[in-house]
Amino acid sequence: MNFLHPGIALAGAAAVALPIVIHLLFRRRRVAVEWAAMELLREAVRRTNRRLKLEQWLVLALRSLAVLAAGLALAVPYFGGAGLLGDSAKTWIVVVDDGASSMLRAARDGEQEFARVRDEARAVLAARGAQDRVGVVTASLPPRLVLAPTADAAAIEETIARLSPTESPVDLAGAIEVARAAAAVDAAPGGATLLVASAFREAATEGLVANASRKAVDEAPATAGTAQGVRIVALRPAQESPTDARVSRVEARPSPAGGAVSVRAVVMREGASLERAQARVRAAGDGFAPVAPRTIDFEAGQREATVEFLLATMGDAATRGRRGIEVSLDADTLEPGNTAFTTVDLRPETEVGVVGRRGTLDAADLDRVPASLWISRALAPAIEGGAGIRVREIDPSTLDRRALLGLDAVVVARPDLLAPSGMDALGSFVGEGGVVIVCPAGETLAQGWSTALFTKLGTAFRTGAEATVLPQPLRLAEEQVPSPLLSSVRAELAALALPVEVTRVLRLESVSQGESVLALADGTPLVAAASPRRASDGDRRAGLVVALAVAPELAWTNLPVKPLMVPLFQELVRAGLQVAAQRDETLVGGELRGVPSTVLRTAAGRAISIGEDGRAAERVPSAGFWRGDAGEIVAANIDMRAIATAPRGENDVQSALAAFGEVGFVQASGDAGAGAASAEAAGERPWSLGLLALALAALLLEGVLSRIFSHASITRAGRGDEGVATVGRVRARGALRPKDEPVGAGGAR
Amino acid sequence: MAERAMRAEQYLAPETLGQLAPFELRSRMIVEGVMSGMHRSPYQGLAVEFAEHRQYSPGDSIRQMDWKVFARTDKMYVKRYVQETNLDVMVLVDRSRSMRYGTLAVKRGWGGTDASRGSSNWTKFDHATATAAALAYVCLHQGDRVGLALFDEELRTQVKRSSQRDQWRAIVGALSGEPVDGRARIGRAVDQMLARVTNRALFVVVSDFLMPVEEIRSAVARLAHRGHDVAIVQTLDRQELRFELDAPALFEGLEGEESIETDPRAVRAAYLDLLREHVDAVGRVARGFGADAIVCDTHESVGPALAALLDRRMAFAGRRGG
Repeated sequence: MNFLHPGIALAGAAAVALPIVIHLLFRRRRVAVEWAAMELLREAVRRTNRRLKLEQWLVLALRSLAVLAAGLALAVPYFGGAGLLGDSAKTWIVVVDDGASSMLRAARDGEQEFARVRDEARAVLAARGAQDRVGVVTASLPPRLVLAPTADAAAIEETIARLSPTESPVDLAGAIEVARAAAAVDAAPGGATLLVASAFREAATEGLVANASRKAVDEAPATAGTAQGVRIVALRPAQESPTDARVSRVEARPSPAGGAVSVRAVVMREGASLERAQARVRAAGDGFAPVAPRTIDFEAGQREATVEFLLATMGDAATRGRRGIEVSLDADTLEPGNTAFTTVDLRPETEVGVVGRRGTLDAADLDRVPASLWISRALAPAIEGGAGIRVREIDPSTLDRRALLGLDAVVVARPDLLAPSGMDALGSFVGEGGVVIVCPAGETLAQGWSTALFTKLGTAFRTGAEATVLPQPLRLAEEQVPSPLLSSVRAELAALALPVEVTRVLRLESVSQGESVLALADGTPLVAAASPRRASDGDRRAGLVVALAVAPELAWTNLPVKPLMVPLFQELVRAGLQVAAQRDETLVGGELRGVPSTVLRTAAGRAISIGEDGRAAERVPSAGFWRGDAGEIVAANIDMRAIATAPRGENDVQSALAAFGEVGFVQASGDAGAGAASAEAAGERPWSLGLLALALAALLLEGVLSRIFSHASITRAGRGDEGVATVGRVRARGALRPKDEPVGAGGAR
Repeated sequence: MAERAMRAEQYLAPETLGQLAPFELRSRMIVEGVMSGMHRSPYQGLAVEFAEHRQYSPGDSIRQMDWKVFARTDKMYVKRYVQETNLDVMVLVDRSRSMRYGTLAVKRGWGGTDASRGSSNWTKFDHATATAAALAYVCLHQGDRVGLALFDEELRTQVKRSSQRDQWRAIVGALSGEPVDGRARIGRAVDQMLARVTNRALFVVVSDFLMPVEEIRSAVARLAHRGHDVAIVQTLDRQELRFELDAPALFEGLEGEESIETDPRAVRAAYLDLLREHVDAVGRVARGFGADAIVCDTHESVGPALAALLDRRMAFAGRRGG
């Protein structure tokens, strides 16, 4: 058992002696009475002595119990420490939430939440014992022990003062584990208390909740033991919810017409009361002409708005290369999230290889036009100016790495004719960031190629061994799940998809949620896209594989002669290239990859070294562009989950923290400088209340027993026994009352 | 002398005399007085009051023959007479230190005895003094002789028996001047008393009788076996009878007993039970030897208590035909 106020507990324990001292003092001050019938009195005392002593001890014990219980209740007891009175040195590990959400500023005074939480933690620590040791763990990714437990007050204060919020997500669960490990190493005799200093907004608690659920399912038997001996005291969760706008998503696509980049930004608002407001959005990028800010007029309650920019390239920006684009908002209550970064891969002309048998487009026999020809015409229509896409036809039998040199994307129209070397070449092509689009072989129902090809491409996609001829033509689904590959035609997608019918289909299998680009009316995917996972490269995702369930031939579908055909294939190539390029984008707090043995730097000069394995030794510390010497560029953005500022209730926080040990809340008093932390532990409130109830019950019982044991009721004249009868006084009381009045002159007996 | 007279009157109030006026102190036994009085004498045939006829037997004095009966019936009868004589009353007053106890508030200095001198409480010894004065007055009023003896561990001051009218003043005066101290040993005092009183008498013992019952039994038995009449007046303070103290206190014995610290409220029931048993035991001892016993409350007037005693004795004497 331990106490938040050990001094009061000691005082309460000392006060147990108070009733005894009072008893002794009153005993000494008792008046002496001369008495004649001493033998009778002595015998009466002897007869009642045992009962009297029992009564006295009982009353004395109740008084002492009342004082002790009241003292202990005021001292706020809790279990977790070693010493009964908390007099042993304890270890405090302060887990500081320094994640991105901690930069939230209060709407009232503009004070940053991190500063407030840090001051409250200071105030709580001010009430620690002189011998107590304090360690500090920062909870932003990755959680770190920044100060090993020490009793050096100067070092503790300096460490806490040096703390500052980061843009990284917070991992409170990981930080608590680090803290527990540090406490276990320190092994103070008084036990360990983890002080979790956080405002416990959604960003901080989501991980805790997930951790608690995971522990409840997987580790319940194990945690029961590990939670012993560690007490968790948390600051009370913040309850205010100021409104904040953030750029939640930015997409940039080269304009099909060339010479410009289309930028689409989604701005979200978070807060308890979303009133009418304006948000000014700016977009800018290296090598792009300045563009006027856009203003979003949020209606009351509106959470999300989209704004689009068209950034015109300047000078040599039109040349091939990756450019950075940033979209920013005016400063508001939370700085992280106000700016989002993305990259765009600028190419003067995209070169796409179409793998298929040569054929001619004969208007008299459209049914026999092969898929490769339809695809070639869709990608590169014979119009003036073109779509910036140049098609190179490749025969399946000649497909190898050499044939793929210089290509940005490959459309495989005859996968059934691919040699294994061709499949290997395609696998390498995807691994290097290329886009591969695979269609079923149009001339046959049998499709035995899928397993071999998709395995080489590194995806889980599979198809059946044979195409299915549908009894009735099947249309596309009226409601399509938005896909980044078709985001530029999202507005007209429904109209474009409406006339498309499918009569033969090769069902796509093993398509995960989120990988479907277009779906048929029966819900099965018509087009699916996935980024291959390379186990040999640390599961790094690269390139893009797009699979179609139909061959774009009229025997399979009327798609080739419908308006969707051209934008579908052009966007699959164009957007596919951007999606594949965005694999280099990352989130703050996440891993950073790059060219092995190089250095990535921010404009501010901060650098991260990339190791020989292509990975950085540290996580991405801040948002922005990280550029390499070889011209590579990585856009790092704030994880929107890291700045989710919705407040959480005490019960939610307590249940989330309960997986780590006994939990209580602490409320630092207003004047942190005074160091007077008036703390109460919510988890221990029942102990205090119980002890107070015990004290009250003991007092009440003591009062009743004292009343009974004092025998006061029988000493009142006329209410009890009037004693021994005498001659001259009639037994019937009142008939002859004794004359108690003093004898006056002449009133002799 | 004037002060002594004043003290004596303090202890014999007019209302007490009024309450006792209808009563006479009668002996339960035949007494051996030296003067003619209202009490039966063991000496018969010496005139005064006819008792019975008895047939003549040889040797009887012919002076006692009832000649009138002989003339009418020609049978010889002898007349028998009962002698009436006066009563010797000896008042034995306990002057041990326990008699200093008293809780009835009076005007400071009102009491004239050593027990109440300078204090403002009416003590058991004051009450005993008043009792002795009243008894003496009653006895003297009916022509009996009355004397006084005070005892503690042994017999102390004694006022010789007399039927003089102001004998009660002498008795009160003796009581007023007597120190109230020491421990009571009634047996020894009775032995000493019996050595001095040879004729049959009525012994009225006034004490709190806060002593072992066996000692009381022994003393009463010795008096009864010597043919004396005995009356016991147990004088107790109201506080002793009721034990109505409210606060824990240190009780210090008046006769040098070891002090006791206790809460009187807690032991009151047990104490009263013990006192009741003790008073009942004293009463049983008295009745066992044909004696009277009354318990007097010092907060009550002397008159009613003594009136009850005298009434009881008069009723007994009536049944005996005396």
